[in-house]
Amino acid sequence: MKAGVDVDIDVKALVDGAQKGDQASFAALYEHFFDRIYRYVSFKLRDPVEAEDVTGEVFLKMLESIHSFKWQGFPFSSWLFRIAHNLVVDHFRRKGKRPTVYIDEVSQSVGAYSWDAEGFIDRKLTLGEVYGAMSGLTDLQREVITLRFAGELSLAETAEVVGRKANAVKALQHAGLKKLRSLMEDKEPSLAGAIGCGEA
Amino acid sequence: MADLGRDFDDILDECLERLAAGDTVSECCARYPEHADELEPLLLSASAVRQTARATPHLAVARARGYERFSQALAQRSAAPAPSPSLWERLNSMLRTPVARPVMAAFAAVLVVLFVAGGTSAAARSSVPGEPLYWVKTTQENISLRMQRDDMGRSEQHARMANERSSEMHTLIERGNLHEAEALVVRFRRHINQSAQYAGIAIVVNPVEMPNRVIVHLVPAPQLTPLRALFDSSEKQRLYSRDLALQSAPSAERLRAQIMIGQCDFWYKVFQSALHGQDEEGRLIFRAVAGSSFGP
Repeated sequence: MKAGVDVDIDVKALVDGAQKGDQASFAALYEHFFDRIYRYVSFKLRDPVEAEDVTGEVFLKMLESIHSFKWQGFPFSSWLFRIAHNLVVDHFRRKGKRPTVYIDEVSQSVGAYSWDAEGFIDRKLTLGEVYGAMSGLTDLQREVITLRFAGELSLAETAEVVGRKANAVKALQHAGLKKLRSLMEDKEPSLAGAIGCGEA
Repeated sequence: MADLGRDFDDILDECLERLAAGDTVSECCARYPEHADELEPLLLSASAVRQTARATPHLAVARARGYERFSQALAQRSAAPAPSPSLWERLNSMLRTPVARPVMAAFAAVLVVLFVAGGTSAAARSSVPGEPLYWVKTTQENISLRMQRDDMGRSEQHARMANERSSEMHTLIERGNLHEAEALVVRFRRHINQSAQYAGIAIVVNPVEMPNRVIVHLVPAPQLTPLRALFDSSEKQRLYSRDLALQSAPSAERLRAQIMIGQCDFWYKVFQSALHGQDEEGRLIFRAVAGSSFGP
């Protein structure tokens, strides 16, 4: 039940093949990981053009460095997301700025409250509100939340990327979501009582 | 209380995994009715983040475009004689083996003779991707890059490498090999960016925030003179080679060639303009608009 991962894909076999120079394995790894890496990078940079460039760099880096990857008890996805994380950090360092909210984000709805189609719709959050709330988290909470729900990594994979134990990541995830919720409620007080899945 | 807290973390994580696998918030809450009030807002917050990330525009286009670049790099890599690990790493690890040392020393001596003799080196200098001696050329460039002791040296070496990639791109366009030429545009841009970074220059292009607008910020850097000279001295040759490539490009591919050349011209123009201007305090700060005049 790993988040967002096609369990039918044998990543280990693909990595082994790629390390031997098999082009089809490289291509399959690209196909398997591109969407999640792009979403993760894009969520952090909030600029599709820059996200495309940085994501491209992630896979070029994978191409250059895959021979140095060794199976030492952590998944390949964690290694790849760590590359992505480092390149995003380098990108911000080079540019010397944090992401800004773009005009489109202010009005574009993410449909966050209609996604389960159960009629619990009061109003939909906008991208800007979600990004705004994310900026209120600590760096580590933000990283955990981004890896878990934008990068769709499992808890164990996330723990490897951030270099923490799984239980610590669980706690960070809980605290991060709690804070996120309260920050989003601050934006729109009516959300607090809008939905009640626990109600009879 | 600590135990209770830990239990809830586990329940929350299980529900998050179920959500990712396709369950609804209600289904998750129904499994743990005693925690439903606490679970629900957290699960909705997680889904808000997931929906935001999934609202990422141009995913399919980005994947296709990225794959083209990736497959070019892959093809280039498989054409190289030493796929993985890199030649430098191989030499390094082999030299650490006592038995291999004499062999490696002899091999190194042969390499040195070959390089010093210059024949191979001279032939490699004009090679382009896909040719047998191209790896000699790129190895020499990388060695030269490693030998630079300071940032300005590295910046100049990256500028030379950018010039080389641009020249190789022109040659490949002339030969009608536009596929390989496109891969060089990416490498050219990377070298230009790295050259700029080592020189303390940040080139910012933000087509979302300011379409067609480029801002270049520079730090005080009187030592930029050699870098300027490097670009200036090669400019005439570059323009000549560029025009020749455009004239010789296959007519069906001319537009594609123009786009590639236009991209390189753009980055040259931005970087060169940045290198040539400065304000009254010696700080170089430029605001430039693509396709029009450049100035502080």
